Amino acid sequence: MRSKLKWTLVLFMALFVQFSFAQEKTLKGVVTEDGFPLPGATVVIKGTTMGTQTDLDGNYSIKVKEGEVVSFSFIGLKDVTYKVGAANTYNVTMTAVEDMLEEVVVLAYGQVKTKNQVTGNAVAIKGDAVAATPMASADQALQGRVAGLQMSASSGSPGAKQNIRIRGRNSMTATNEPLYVIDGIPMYDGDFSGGNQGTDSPSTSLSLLATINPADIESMTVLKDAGATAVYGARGTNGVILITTKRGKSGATKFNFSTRVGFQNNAVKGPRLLTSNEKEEIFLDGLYNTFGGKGTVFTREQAGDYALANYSKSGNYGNWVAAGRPDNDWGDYVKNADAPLTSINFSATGGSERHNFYASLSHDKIESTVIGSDFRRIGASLSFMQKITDKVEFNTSIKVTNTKQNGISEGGAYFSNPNYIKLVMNPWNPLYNEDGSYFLPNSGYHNVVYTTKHNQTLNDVTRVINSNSISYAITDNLKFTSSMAIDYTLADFSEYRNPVHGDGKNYGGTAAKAVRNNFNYVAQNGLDYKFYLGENHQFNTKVLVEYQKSKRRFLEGSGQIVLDGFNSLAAAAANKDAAYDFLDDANLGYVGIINYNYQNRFLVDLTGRREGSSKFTDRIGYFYSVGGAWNMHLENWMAHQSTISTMRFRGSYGTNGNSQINPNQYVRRADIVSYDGEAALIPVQIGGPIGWEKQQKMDFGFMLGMFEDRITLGATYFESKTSDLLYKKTLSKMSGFESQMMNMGAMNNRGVELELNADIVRSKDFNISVGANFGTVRNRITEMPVIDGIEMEDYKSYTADVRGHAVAEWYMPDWAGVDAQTGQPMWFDKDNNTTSDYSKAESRFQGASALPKFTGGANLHVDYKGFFLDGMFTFAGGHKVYEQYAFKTAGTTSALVSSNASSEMLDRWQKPGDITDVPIVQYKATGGNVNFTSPSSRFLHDGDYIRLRNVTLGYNFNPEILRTLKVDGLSLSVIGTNLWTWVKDKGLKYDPEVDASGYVNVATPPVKSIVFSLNVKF
Amino acid sequence: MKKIIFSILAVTLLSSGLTSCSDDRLDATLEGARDIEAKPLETLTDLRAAVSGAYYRMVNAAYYGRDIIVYSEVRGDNAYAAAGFSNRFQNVSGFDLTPTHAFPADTWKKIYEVISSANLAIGSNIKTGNETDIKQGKAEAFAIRALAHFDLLRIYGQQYVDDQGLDALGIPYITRFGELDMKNYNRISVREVRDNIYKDLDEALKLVDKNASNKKRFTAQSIHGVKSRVALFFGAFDENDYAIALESAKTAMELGGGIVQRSAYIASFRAEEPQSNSVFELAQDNINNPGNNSLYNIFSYDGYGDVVGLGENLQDLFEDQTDIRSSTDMQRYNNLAQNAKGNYKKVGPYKFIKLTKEELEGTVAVDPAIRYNLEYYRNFGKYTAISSNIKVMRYEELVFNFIEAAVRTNTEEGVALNLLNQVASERYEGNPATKYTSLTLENVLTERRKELVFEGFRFEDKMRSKENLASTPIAEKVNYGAFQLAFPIPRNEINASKIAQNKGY
Repeated sequence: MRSKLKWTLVLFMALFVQFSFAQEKTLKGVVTEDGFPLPGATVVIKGTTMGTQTDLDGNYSIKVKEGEVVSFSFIGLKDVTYKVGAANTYNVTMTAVEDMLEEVVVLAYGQVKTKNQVTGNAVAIKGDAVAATPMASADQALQGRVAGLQMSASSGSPGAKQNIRIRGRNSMTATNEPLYVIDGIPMYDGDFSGGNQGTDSPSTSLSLLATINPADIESMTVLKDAGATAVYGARGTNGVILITTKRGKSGATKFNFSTRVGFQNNAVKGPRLLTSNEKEEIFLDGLYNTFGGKGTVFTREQAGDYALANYSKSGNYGNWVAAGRPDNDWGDYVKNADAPLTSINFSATGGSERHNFYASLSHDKIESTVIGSDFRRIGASLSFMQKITDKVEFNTSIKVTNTKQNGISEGGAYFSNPNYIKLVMNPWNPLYNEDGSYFLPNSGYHNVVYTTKHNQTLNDVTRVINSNSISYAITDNLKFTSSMAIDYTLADFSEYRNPVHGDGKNYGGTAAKAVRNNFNYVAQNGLDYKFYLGENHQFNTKVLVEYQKSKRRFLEGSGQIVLDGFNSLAAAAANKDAAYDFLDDANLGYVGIINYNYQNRFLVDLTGRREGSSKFTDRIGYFYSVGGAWNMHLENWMAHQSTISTMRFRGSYGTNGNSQINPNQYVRRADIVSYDGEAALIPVQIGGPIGWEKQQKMDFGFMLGMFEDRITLGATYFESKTSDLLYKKTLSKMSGFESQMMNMGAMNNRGVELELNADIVRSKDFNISVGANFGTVRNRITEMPVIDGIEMEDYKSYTADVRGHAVAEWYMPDWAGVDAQTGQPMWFDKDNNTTSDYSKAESRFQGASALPKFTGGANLHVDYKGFFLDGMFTFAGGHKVYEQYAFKTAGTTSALVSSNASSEMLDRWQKPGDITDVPIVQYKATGGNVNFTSPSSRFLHDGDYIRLRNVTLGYNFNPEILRTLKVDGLSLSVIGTNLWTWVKDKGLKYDPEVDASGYVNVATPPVKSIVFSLNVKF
Repeated sequence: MKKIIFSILAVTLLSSGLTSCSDDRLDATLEGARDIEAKPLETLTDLRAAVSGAYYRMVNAAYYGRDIIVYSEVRGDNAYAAAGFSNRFQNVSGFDLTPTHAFPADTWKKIYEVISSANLAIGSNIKTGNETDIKQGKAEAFAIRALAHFDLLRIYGQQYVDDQGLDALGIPYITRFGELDMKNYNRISVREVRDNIYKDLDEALKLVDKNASNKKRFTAQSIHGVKSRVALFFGAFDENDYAIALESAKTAMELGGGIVQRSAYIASFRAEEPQSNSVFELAQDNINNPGNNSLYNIFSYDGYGDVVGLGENLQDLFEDQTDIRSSTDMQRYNNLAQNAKGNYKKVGPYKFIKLTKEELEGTVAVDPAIRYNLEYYRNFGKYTAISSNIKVMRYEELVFNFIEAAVRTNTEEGVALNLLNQVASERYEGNPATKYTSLTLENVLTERRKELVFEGFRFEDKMRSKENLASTPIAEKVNYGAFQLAFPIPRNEINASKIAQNKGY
């Protein structure tokens, strides 16, 4: 519309001007782009067919009349118009289109809108930011950039899954992970590691996003409210992350080459464990306190002799003493210091008006900061667009990646988990025997250096994502689009456990192979229709049918007794076993969208979706949303001032659902197992009717921009209510079942999100801008399931679900310190008196859950003549994390013999009057000391932290140098991630970023890295 | 242009073929599992599979696969969980359990799952199949249900605490599959539990196929055997039960099998499959076994190795080298080596005692030739492989159930003495025909202990005699009547069903 108006105006002007001055002359000049002459640019006198093209040196010459308007155009560059005046020469500098375009936001189902046309709550992140984060998977770039998005790492191993929570926790049992949509295909999130299918020791997880090359990502959009997500119906509850990959750009072919080299270490050192000698000190203390009889049986000085006489065989003590008490630092043995990271990426894009393409190749290799784990990905992609006719456009893209991940046993107390061994390995155990061979303890924790070297846990995942669409513009205003996308993943997993030491020892070695193949396709047929009612009422409508089917197959074979020198299932001699699993589900949705736009001032969006899912007995769900916005700054009465450049209000209300549970949960199910060579049935699921988890979301926002948007401020208030929660009601074990899935209970989330951006200095050579975002979320259970007329209160060992509290709020006894007289640990009882009897201690709500009450980020950008500096801080707070393995690292009783403890234990209580947090050390604990490591606030820490997430310092070479080097662009930068971390609770020695469940896990912590990056465009 | 129109048409048709469909395309597939509501158990095969499911669960590590056997050993005077290994069973062995610990919770859950499987079979309406076989299937299910409740009772029941006996708080007796009614989650008295167990066993005996002989499932013999085991247990609280024990053991013995011969004794424990003295075993094989959580692994120095013998008790018990059960194939010290600087001295053919402080310091001289190093006293013979079947009941147990009931009630003592000598003749060198000339409770209990050591009977045997438990390297003395003799009811169970907690927790 706007362009039509312009055309008319131009025509009119031209005519008008023509009347006044009609003198013909020749206009000459040079057309350049970035200082280079531009051949082949079109030069046309507007309103006529008269025109020419520039020659090889960019020169043009055209006969014009004064007052005429000359237009210069070139594909991929912004048109330049020039009104002919008195001068006879006019040199034109053309610039690329993308720099001039108003920032757009990609929304659900391919809708693209400018910032001020959006009524929902959507935050776009540009691909540059994604590419600038030197991590294996793209989601890691989101941290700190989106208000209300919380992120935590389940593991810092490269490629491992991240936990993302948008506006907190919306479900108790169904997933809390957002929906990922890549180029229109809703993805089945999950762990692609074949090692995590069975019940055996899990290994490093593999995120679905780790199989996508971050450099191929054009933009990511985070959809937060119902206005933006209701079209995704039942899967939109936890927000949606839309990932748009790069498409071709018409114009001369351009190449981009970037490479990166860096090294990584753990971002936080983690707790210091006792050295071998310190452990002896604690151990002897324990023996003395338990058996010494206060010096009557033996004195503290004689404890060493006593230990040698009675415990020399325990925990290798005798041998260690005999070897001269060497220090064995297992933390050091499992460390992979300065783990290297390399990345190479090459892409090309170009095309003409009728077609364009984007192609890329990439290779990434990242090692973990712990031994035995690395990640390698090769990828290639091609995206192609062809305009078959003026009306028909065909798009296709294909992305293929192969990811190889050497995983480690991770995430639990597994004897071969290097991150666990670091904490618990007995420091009296050496790494090597005197003769240089590995020391292989007969029982207990494995020599993990040996096992990671001789075992294998390998994921080899090949993924192909292919999406195709064809659109047919039936009329100018009516367009039919049909698209189909296929996402196919073939995950091949190999596992080998050697017969000499570790998990394979009992079986003569074990080998397993698992093949998982996920086939997921989506087909969409839709019509877009736009029309006007009168001049000012613009409508865009869309109707769409979507069918998605997912089939997941898992086939595993395993065997035992593996011949020396082999590590494959093919070489397993005996006890071969096979397992197979098949899961499928389908989703059929009908979508309708109406956008109404009144002069860009008033906007109303309506969306609706009807959806059926195979996961429920009550299958059909209807979801809708209403959104509106008022761009006040476009009102006439705002035109008289120049301070406020943007002022808008927006709001939305709508519904979502949650269906992300495993299929067939409503079935009363018996699984087939084997007993004595016969098929056996075991009832494993009680089943019962289930339907959608329903959610209502409300969101209001206000945006203010001042001084040509040099300062912008955004504020949002949201509230969401989830009802009919898919709730896994814990059953009495007497029922024979663990739990039953039901729709019961409700919860509520509300919060405020703020965003502030300011360009403090804005000039040609020098710019400074700062930005910050902040989001809060308050979670409350508003209704618990009512059973037999009584509202349930679900108390667990560490947390509880009770109405009026947050979901999974920490719930445990309050720690009252160590009794200065007796050295016994103390807790508070129900009368708030201290007690050393744990059974009398009162469990209390701790006022926080594992999810932060607030999160945010702050960033700074400075550039000066090609030099640039970017920095970003992220922070989170108001939550608590539990030191889950304290029962190991704070265990000073006989359990210490075969294990180790944190150096904190050196602060133990030793004599009456000692004020400390560590009780008396006893070989055989007495009184409350038995329960020292039982759940209490002693091991619950504030999770608040601030982290310097990203610092980039770089230089963009200036055009003169580029011209000499004959390249279009060249930049060098050094990127630092997680270089600095501040943790509020000094008692928390672990990395504060833990799994969303809030338990400090024995997995690789987040890394700090320094990466050098080079980027060339030509 | 034509081409284009065709291609559009093709794509449209293709994609509408994919999307235009009705909601019934939404059905999900169920492979490797069965919807037992839509397709309830109806055939004999279904019934047998459901009963097999119960056995499958019984052999889990949380139940007969390991834990329940270890509970009885590390809480008695045969063994304890030593420090310096994987730290398993230390809280059980040290009587330090709390309601949140995993052992009480896992075993509680697993046993009720077994009961759930049994109830599924019992409650099923089987329409097709041979009637004898259907009855046999149901009989097995009743027997499983009875044994499972008995096992719950002996672990969680309050009978020993303050010696309350039959009037003490027992455990809930669940008789319906998928029981969700809170009213039935009721801790009935030990007496009522006993009555229910007898009722189920008698029902099982009524239905059982006398010709069924698969020892990896319940047979008439093993059901009688369970009844004798249960009755012997209750005899401690009600003398009349000893008579039932005697009667049941006798009936069971009459149904076949015999005491394993001395020559076959060691091999009988290494055998993967049932032997002549097997009465009831739970099947395991190379693939279906608890792996690292097996009995082998917890006893073996080459595995987790936590459970070690209480050497000072067992070395006396197994001092007599003419007893096949004392052989080094069955028990011995691990890593035993003569060492002039060793911490132990040899004082008998197979007896080693720790040196005193003075002896170590040299103030009291010890002949370097008799000094030894050793690891722990270990059980070598009873669990030799991960894959072996779990021996739930052996013929020898029936014999000892009979003898003990006889001696405690002074009935059929002649037969009992004869039986005791029969066992002895197959255990001691030279097959002595009359090792024992008179029957004393002490002799009987000592022979029973020697025969069944490490097989999960010791704690109950001590309790039956209402004995106090001496201290071990990991536990203080625990007197009969102490609350620690019963496991705590798991916290998560109390949260869900609000049943009463045991005393002291």
